[in-house]
Amino acid sequence: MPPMKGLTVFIADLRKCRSHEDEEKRVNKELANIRTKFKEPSLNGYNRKKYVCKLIYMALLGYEVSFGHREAVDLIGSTKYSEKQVGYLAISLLMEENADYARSVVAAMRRDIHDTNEFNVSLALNAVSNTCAREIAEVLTQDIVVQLLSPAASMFIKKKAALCLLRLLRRYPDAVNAQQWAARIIPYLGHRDIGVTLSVASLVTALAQQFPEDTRKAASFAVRRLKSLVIDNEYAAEYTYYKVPAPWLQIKLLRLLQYFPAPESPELRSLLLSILRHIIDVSQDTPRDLQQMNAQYSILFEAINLGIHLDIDQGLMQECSVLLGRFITSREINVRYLGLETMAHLAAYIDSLDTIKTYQGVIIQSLRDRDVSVRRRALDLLYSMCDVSSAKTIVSELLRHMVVADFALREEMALKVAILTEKHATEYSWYVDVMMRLVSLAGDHMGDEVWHRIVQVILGNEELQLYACKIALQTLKAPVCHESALKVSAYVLGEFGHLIANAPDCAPVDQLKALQSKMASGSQSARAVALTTVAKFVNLFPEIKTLCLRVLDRYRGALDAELQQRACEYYALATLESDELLPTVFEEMPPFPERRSALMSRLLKREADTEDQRTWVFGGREINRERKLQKAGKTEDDAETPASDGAVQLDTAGVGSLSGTDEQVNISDAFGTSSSGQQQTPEELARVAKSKRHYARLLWENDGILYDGDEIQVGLVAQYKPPAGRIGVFLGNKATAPIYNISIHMVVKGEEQLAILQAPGQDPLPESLMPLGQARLYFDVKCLGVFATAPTLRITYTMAGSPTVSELQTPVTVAHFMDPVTITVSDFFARWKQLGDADIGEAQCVLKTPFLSTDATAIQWLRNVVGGAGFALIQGADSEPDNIVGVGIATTEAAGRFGCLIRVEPKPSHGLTRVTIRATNPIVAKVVAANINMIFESR
Amino acid sequence: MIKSVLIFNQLGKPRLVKFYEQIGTAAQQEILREIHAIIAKRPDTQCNFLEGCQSIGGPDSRIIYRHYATLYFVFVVDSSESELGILDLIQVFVEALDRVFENVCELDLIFHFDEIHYILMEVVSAGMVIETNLAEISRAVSEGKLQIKPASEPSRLGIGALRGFV
Repeated sequence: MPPMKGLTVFIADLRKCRSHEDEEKRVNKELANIRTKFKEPSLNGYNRKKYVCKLIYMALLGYEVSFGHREAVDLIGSTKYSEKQVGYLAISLLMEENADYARSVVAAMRRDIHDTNEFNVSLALNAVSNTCAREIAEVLTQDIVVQLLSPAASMFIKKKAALCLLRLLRRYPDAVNAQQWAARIIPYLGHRDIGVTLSVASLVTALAQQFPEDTRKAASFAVRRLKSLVIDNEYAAEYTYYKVPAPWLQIKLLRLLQYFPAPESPELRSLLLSILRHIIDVSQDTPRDLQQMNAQYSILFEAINLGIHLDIDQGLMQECSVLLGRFITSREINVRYLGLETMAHLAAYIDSLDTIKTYQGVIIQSLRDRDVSVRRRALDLLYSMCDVSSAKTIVSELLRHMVVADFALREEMALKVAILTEKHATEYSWYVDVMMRLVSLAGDHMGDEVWHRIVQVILGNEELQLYACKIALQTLKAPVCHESALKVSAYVLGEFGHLIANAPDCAPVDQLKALQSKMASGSQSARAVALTTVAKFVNLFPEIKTLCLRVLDRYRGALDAELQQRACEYYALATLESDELLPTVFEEMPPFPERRSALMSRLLKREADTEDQRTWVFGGREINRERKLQKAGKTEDDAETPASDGAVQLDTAGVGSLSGTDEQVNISDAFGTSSSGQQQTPEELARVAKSKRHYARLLWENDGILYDGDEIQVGLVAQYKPPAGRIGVFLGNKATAPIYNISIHMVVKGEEQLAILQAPGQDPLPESLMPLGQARLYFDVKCLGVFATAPTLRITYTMAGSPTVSELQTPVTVAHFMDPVTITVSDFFARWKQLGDADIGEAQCVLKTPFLSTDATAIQWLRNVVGGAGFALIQGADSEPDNIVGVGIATTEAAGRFGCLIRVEPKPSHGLTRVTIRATNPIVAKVVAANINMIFESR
Repeated sequence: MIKSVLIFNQLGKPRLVKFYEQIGTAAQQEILREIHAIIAKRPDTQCNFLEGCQSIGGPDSRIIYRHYATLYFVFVVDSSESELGILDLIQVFVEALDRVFENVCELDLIFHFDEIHYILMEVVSAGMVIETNLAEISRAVSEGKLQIKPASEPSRLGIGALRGFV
């Protein structure tokens, strides 16, 4: 850039300023000057450029620059390169996201992108990748894609275009239609120019996170490219960095592969393994040159990370852990740091922690490293590698270290200690001891979550309570007691103090005295907790009521409003005439419902998502597994299309046809991939029979289970007020992993006579369902006319990364909209005859009922079924006492009401039952008959 | 991704401030001050990596820096970047400056603050490394400068235009 005299003078002036005030004065003077200059109509390009440069410099020094954008836009439009360059620089540094002049900037950019001079194109692309107005994404994406894919564009332009797309994709994923061009970008990973490949690899990495399906091919391109680089040594000589071939590209590709699952093709797999092995072998010798070592190790660490991610060769992993063991003792501090970090990654995945454990001493030593960065990584590693057998050592080391640790580190340490202790505790006393020590040591540095959690755990574990009480009292009697410890102790004694009341020195009076002794010095919130405990003592130990009342009474005059209010309320409660209220109010707290520990959420929140997703988090194997599942769920959500080719398990249980009376109910089933559905295993058949039973039961009972599988359980609760009804669907997670992306729909196939809507005003389905959790959704159904096909309940969810669709036939038939009607015996026979003569709708079937002769209650069961199916039983209508006759009326909203009569004639001696239905509508008769048929069949 | 590239001297005076995310000027200066405060007291024997400070990215981001004479070169990156890779990249950036300015010093950075940006643009774009080949970087920068010549600038600036040509 040719120096501009005015600018040089200005910079020199500022450098001469002795104080900040001087500098500010000079800047303000210049700002005023520039403002007036900008108003001159005769301002030439050179001066405009100079003044904009000055503004940029002021912004660099931290001064707010609120004008000059128009002039920058003018510069962009200039034909002179130097002016254009400054204009774009100003725009990329000073432009706000949604500036009103964005449109003119976009227009200028577009012009330059199509310019014949590639340096103008380059300026425009550089600016695109440094600004972020939405208009750019909307207007320019296509032009940039063209630049990247065009055979005419030079490498210099292509690599910039790729990163522009990356920028736009990240900022406005919805505006760039990435799926349209993603697939065409991927082959560029194999481009011979390393600069282009490097940029494209960055772009593909971002695409892979958003569209894993569309970018699946990228993995094989990346592997082959790595091979040509690492094994075949095919690259331009200028890309060697201190004797290492293109380290950045290697790192990028190794990183990109971490966003894909391990390749399935054996060829690719072995190729990838040989690349990793090659990288590890090369790194066995430590290079002398520092830069070379850096470059070589940067690749090695990434290769190890990839190896951990692939998780396909335990031998390789063990070798990695040995190598890492060497690194964490390295004299080179950067290597030590990265060794610890990578080992934490390894510990989060590896099957056996044995090799890592051999370095436990070294790692604990690193907690005392002079460098805080190294200390942090050591803490992360200890947290990740801790298991039941090493928990005691690690936790006690962490506690020991807590006292001397940096303040910034203590909160995290406290959280981690709390989590590890809870997770790996095998003895109750150990848990309580550690936690009490923890709150005493680090109470000042941690949030309330920690002591809340301790109380939750103690409340939830009966075995802990006695010991916890003893320790609590001991803590209160100690000379010094931290306020969090006071809170825990007070809470525990208030709940379970009676457990130790008979032990020596633990009498109610002792407990109260100990509490009182620490109360005076506690903070407001600690005293509030203690006051509640005193009130609980009134209930727990009536013998010290007077003493307790005295304490409460004293606090009635407390200055603090919260304490005063508590004291007054508790006092009033304790002195009520009736004794009933107090025990109810202070009844023992129920155990807390099991839910995700707040500590875990807090820790994970600290690791919020950045622009690129992390491929792993600190912690043990389980948490990373869980994360993978979650991610799989999320991805599916983004893609919106269920995965193709067999990834969807169609789980069609109990889809039947109800159109004919004597027709066998058809149950098609297509579990897993057996799409033919002809050859069913006995297990499958049993399952189908089971769901058929569930279905049949719901034909005459309103509430019950509809489906009971390995992963989920579906229950129905129905209420009918013909012609309307409300059906609640309950979905339970029976598996051990959470399920995600739940949707529940009720679909009416080919029927216009049944309307189903999700009931209004209910909570939406949760995003995920933990094991043993339950979700529910209500539907309003309305019977418009007579219908023959039952609706289908379609439940979709994702578990362990694979989406599942369950389609269940739902027991909602026209017969469900039937009310029982009581008529006289003579009326019944008159109608029966009338309907028989008119021959409008009769259905008759003879069903096998062998259970009639063996089960004495069978007749009663038949009555229940007919009654449950919506008929009023007419007593004494038939000469045969066992015969059952009933009457019901089905109500539809649009087509009117339909009478329906039923006659059931059991013949125990033949093991058969004849069922006759006569209705004023043939379909009603058929549906009722089919229902009865099904109920009998699946008894 | 690289979130920010900063160059400042031992006193914390900014020489280059580049953010790849939209952040206000005041916040940028705050981040710079905070990072300077942590780094300036670290001896050179300690490692080149730091956990991100509160104002930028929190603990999941990394501050990776190198100390050259009077200047600190700082890259703030998220967890998806390789620490050593970025450390190498700083070296490449500095070597590129050195090629363009011939023995670069703080004064070059002060009086050619715009040019530093142009060089950086050839190394890092949209928060991603774009080129690591020194020959290619200096070619792009110097050929860019050649563009200025035909546009008939006042002739007295001609020598300046060629300054730094290798």
